[in-house]
Amino acid sequence: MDEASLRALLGRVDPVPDGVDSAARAAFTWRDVDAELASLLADSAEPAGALVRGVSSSRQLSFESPRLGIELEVVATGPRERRLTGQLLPPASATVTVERPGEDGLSVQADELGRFSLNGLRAGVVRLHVALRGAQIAIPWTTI
Amino acid sequence: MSEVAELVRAASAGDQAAWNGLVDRFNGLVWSVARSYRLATPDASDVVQTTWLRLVEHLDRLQDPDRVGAWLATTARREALRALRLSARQVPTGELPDAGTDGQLGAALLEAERDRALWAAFGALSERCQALLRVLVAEPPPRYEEVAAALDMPIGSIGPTRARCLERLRGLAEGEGVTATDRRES
Repeated sequence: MDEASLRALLGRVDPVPDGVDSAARAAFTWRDVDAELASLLADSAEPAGALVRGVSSSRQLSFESPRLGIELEVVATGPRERRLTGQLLPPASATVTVERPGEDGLSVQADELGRFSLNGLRAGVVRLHVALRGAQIAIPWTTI
Repeated sequence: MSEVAELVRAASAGDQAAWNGLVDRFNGLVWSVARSYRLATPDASDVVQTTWLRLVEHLDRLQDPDRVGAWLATTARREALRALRLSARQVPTGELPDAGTDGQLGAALLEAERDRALWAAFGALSERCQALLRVLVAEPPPRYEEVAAALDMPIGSIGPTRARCLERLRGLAEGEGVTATDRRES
């Protein structure tokens, strides 16, 4: 009874699920070398931003790319349901697309003040893609 | 160039087969990291998927492609901690995620008395020991630098802690009915 027995046991009772393995392989199809990747500046779910441990129903994220800043708020409206509101800075009208692995994107238009909102999103892994005057800006994959 | 660094280079050039090679090498590790933080299946699956999608974004800018395993382990740890803070669906100490709820640990899987005893012993370990052993027994076995990244612990403390946790597991398993004979056989 040693590490090898434990490895064998966990290999039987808790293997990587097939769906998780195929999702990891399929992740490669999201390779997008054209989009400018925004970087995460702040996330209220990060340790520094969450001094009080507990469930907050709202989470703020800030992203920045050379030509655009993006402020996001994620609100849990149900156990696995989210509302996403966003602000583009400087304010600009743009098409914002929510992408999810294995699904078609869902697009909304940011208004002239750069605001957009998406209701009833299923919790999970998403990426936002902003089409702004011919430029493509991607917001890194985030679990909402 | 190491085999892993070569896979990163080829994937970066667009080679899906090389990417699959990285998944084969490291997905067991990434999954074990999510599990070592006691995430239930939906959250653990999201953590793993996010980790790989992040690697897709960063393939071209990894500073040290040979250490992509440690990069994945670090990314998975951060995502797992974030998921824990957000969900508060942490499984109470003493159980592995999903025991009895996911149907993964059905009676058929744990038929052998020996398995049952080992599983009970594992569940009785401290949280820290469970986390360390869960990552160490990932398949294929991870490097120590990857384990260190997964658990944010000094690389030098892994060996001693591992020995102590295994010793404890043996003691607990004996209490659960894994006999000395079993130990000699394995």
